[in-house]
This record gives sequence, C-alpha cells and structure tokens, in this order.
Amino acid sequence: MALLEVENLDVRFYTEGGVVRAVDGLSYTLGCGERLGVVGESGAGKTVAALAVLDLLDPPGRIEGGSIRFDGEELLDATPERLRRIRGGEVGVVFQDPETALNPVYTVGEQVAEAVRVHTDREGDAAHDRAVDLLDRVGIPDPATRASQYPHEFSGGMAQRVVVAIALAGDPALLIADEPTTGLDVTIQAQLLDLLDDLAADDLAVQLISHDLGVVAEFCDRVLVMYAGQAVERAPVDDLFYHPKHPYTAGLLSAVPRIGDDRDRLATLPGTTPDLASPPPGCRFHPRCPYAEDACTKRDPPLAAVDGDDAHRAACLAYLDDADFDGDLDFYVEGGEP
Amino acid sequence: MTAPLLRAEGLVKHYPTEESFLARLLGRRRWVRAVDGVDLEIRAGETLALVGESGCGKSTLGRALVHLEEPTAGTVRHRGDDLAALSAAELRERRRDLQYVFQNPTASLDPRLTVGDAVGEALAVHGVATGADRDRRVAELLETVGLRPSHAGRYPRELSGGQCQRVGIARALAVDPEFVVWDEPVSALDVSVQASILNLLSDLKAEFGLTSLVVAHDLSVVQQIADRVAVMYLGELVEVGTVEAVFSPPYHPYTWSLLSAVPEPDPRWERDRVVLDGAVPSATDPPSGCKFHTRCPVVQDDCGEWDDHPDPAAVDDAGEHAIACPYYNRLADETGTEGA
Repeated sequence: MALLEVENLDVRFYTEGGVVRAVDGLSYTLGCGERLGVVGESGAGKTVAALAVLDLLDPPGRIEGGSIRFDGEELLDATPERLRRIRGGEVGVVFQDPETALNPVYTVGEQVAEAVRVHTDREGDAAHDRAVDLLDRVGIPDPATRASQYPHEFSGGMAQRVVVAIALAGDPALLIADEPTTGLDVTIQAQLLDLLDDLAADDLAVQLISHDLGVVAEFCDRVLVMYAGQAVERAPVDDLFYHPKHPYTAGLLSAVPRIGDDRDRLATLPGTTPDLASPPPGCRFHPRCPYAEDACTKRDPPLAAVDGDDAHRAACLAYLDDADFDGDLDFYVEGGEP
Repeated sequence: MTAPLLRAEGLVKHYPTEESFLARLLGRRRWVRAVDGVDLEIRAGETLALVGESGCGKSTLGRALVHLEEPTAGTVRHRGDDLAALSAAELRERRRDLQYVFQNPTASLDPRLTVGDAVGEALAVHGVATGADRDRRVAELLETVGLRPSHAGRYPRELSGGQCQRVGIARALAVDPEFVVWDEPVSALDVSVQASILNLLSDLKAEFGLTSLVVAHDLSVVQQIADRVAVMYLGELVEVGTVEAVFSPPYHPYTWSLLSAVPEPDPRWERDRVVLDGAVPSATDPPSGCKFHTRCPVVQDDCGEWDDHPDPAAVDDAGEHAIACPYYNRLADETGTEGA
C-alpha cells in the first residue's frame, strides 16, 4: 500500500469571476521513501494540490471531491483534531521563502521546540534538547548557540534549514516541500538538496514541488507534470526527461536553457496558461499545442498508460486507441535512445 | 581594438551600516564594501553578464555603471568622459544612452499608470516625443517587445509577470539607448516565459546593436545570451572572459563551484559536484587575503595572507580571459578538471 494515495481530487475556488477549478481530477500515489516531483508553470495547481493534502486551503477554496488517503486513513473524513496531528506531525511541510515561514519575534530554538511539544510528548528541557538535535540534524553549525538566536540572524539558506528542522519535529513519514530552494543561490540550493537527499535516504517520502526541471531531474524518482489543474504526464524521472510523451512536457523541456547548449534561440510555448474559471473545451492544452487537431477541442483525454507501460502515463489523445487523432507527435530528445 | 563604450576603473562603492549622527560620533558606523575595486570594460555591441551569489555586489556594480550610484572611489567613463564629473544637465542627457531595467517587473511599474503612460513618461521626460507622436512611438515600442498596441490602456495588475517585464523593457528602449543594464531579467518568470524574454533580448541585440550588461545568478541563462562573463565575489571580479572561456577549464575555483552547483535538467547527468560550505561572508568584514579563501575547495596555506588582491592573471595569449587566482592550475590537478 502506498503511503499517500490521492484519487480524483477536485479543488475549486469560488470567486467573483466564477468557479475556478484549480485542481481537476488529480490522482497520484507516493510510496514510503519515494521522491515525487511535481512540475508545471505558475497557476498549474501544484501548490493548491499540496495544500489540499494538508487541509490548509483557505476560503474561497474548497475540496469538492475525491479522496486523500494517508497510510490508509481517509483524510477528507478526519476530524480537525486528527488533521492537526497529521499536519506537521506525520506529514512535514516546507514552504518557499523561509523568511516568511519563521516568526521574527521568537528564537529559532523556541520555534523548533514548539513543534516538538505539539507533535511529541517531550516538554520543557527535553523539547529544547530535541530542538537542538534537530538543528544539528539539518546541518546548522553550533546548534546550541544558534538555537538562542532570532530568524534575522540567519541567512536564507540557514533559515530554510530551520524550516526543515521544524518539519522534522514530528518524525514525519512524508515531507511536502513547495519550491524549497527557489530564490536561493545555486550554491545554497546545492547544500539544501544534499540535505533533502540525506533525509530521503532515511526512508522519508518527499513530494517536491518545483518549477526548476534541473532540481527535479537531480532529486526525484518519479515526476508528475501538471497543466491547468490536471496531471498531463506521470513517469519515472529518466523516462520523463528522455522520452517525454505529452507535448506540454516536451515544450517545457525544450524551453530550458542549458550550459553547453549551442542553440541560438530557445523554443517557446506560445500563449499563456488558460483562465481556469473558463478553461478551453476538450484538452486544456490544445490552444497552445503544436500538434492539436480537431478532435482535441472535443474530448478531454484521461491520463492513460503509454504503449502499455503503466508507470508512464500521459493525457493526450495520441495515446488513446479509440480517439479520432491522426497525427504523429514527432518530438524526441537529443541524446536519448529512440 | 576600439575603445570600450564604458570603462570602470578602480570602482568602489561602500555603504555605511548606520547613517545617524550618534553612530558617526561614537564611531559605530561600519562600511558595507559592496563593490571593492572593480576594473571592467564594456565594449560596444556586446552582451556582458555579471554573475555571482546574492550579496556579492552585482546590482550595485550595475547601478554604479550607469551612475545611479555615486562611486565612493574610482571612475566610470562613458565614451571617455567621467560620469561623476558631468554637470546635472549633461548627466541627464547621458541617461538617454544609459538605461537600467530593474529586477522584479511587477514592483518596478507604478500601479496607477497605464502601460501607455509608463512607457510614454520616459519619452516625455527626455523630450523625445509628445502628443500623437508619443502615442505612435508607444505603440511601436510595445510591438517591438512583443505586446499589442492595445496593451497601452491596461494597468500593470492586468498583466502577467512576463508582460510586465516586457513593459519594463519597452520603457528602457523608449529613449533609444546604446547601453542597458538588465537586473535579473528572468529570475521571477516561468521557464516558458523566460525563454521568450531571453529570445527577445537576443533579438534586440541583433536588431538595434544594443550593448548590455545582464546581472544574473542563473548560469544557464547567461550561457544563452551573453558574449562575455564577469564572475563576482564579495565586491571583486574573480574571473572575466568569453562565455566559452569562463565556462570551460581552466576555472577560478569559485566559478567552478558555481558551475558545478547548477542542477542539470538531465537525470543521467554525472559530475563531481563541489558543495561550498556556508554562505557568502559578510561584506562589512570580508576575509583577508583572497576573499574566497574561507570557502575555497582548493585553498592553499598563504591564500589568507595576501596584502593586496592580485590582479587577475591573463590566462590566454590575447589577454581576453583573466582569473584572479594564482593557483588556478592546482584546481585542475586536485579535481581532475582539465587545466590549460
């Protein structure tokens, strides 16, 4: 049984501009110690999907349907008290921008100790000692001294380590990290990825949300590509980067500049992500898709196994036998075997 | 060789940590050495990238080059004239040639001005065009940067991040500059949008022969658009050269560390990664000797003891590639990266 099973998740925001279907029929699973990357452009629903798992959606956002099972337990039926235990306890969270995640008026040690007190039975000095251990665990030098300092005395990378320490306080089985290294320098990013790598090696499952395909390629086992609230492709990381099956994934990959790249111009994806209050009919990607045909405007393709490979799924009519799609997706990755 | 368009010599910019009279009186005032002795040439028609970690002084150097900052010491010469020596009126005239596009496209636009007014303001301030002429020129500029003339009536909040960035670019181009500083032009954008802005920057260079300085922390972006690269660490340049030269051995140990930290979008990528310890030291109290010696992966015994930072050593015959490290060849020996 998978650690986290999300099935047909629907999240809607009831706004003045209409009902925004921010996450639409999303399904994925995450096993113990597995590293899942979630990628996509801004507004694809990556963060909303993660917030839904943690029951952190604020009105006007609401979960309208589906199922979220954590370790076999249905979270959508759980009591608020139980959810409070899980959130920050069995499921740790790291958000982007550590400076806003930490409270400027409490010492760093106190903020970690607070999480320890809430999620374990340690109190007082025992909680503080545990906090210092956690700061040590995330690679903060001289943790006993640093524990008595305030967030403004920490650099961005060190502050993010503190946030990771807080997330580890309840000894989680799953860590959800939303753009944990965005805004940090590449050197500091490398340090944090090393830390996450080390934690994941200890059987911690990680759901890493990132717009940086380099980070995902390096860190993750499997990748989920989201577009306009839906999963459009799901595959083991090697398959995704070497044999992308969905035109959107191929487009994203070709837009990334690389060192050692001798292209004069980068490929671009025409257009912008659709307004989710009134998404285009049929496949949501068809207005921007270079391979779109008439059939694509009529039918919204499900996430289907590609060439019988259940681990690699793409939501494109080209992979449905009964679809009225005649063309050929003729993209390929240079250096990848055919 | 033709004279450079801009030349910085011994450029220094220090900021006080406290401005108050009391702090001054008690001698508590310390100095942030943001730019600490930089010599740099920018040649007509080239795109020079300035890279380094946050807090290394990239943006300050960029601003000092177009005289948005008064240098503490040293000079910036534009076509041979010291910008600091110009009168206010002369400097204003020069600003038409020297433009700056700020980081964070959404924050750098006035939310109460329409796109047309924001771009038109630049035309009015420099007396380039008025009335119907102005409107026509605004429409032209918007098309140049890939927007529609109808965007002129919109407010910044109605635009996406990429569109705001295009407006910022149009504003800078309004006065037909010869030199533009782009401060982190794509760092806040999605990859798909980033690609189209990078393509736009290449087009502007090809079409108008625009000279630019791109301040960036993303090396893969730099590789895409720059001709030459200057790598900066704690207020000093540590390596300067063409993109090909800087991004291949021999390296300054800092450049090598930066390059090896870039995550490649390739799960099969294998490399020796060097992970630098800690963060950039404080610029109020930088390390002695080579400023990088506290984090250097191949530090030698005497690196902390230099009296002066040595001049960058030219490592190729043409003097085009300079590395400010006397031990750069040791890096090759110790790490297995091929040396010169």
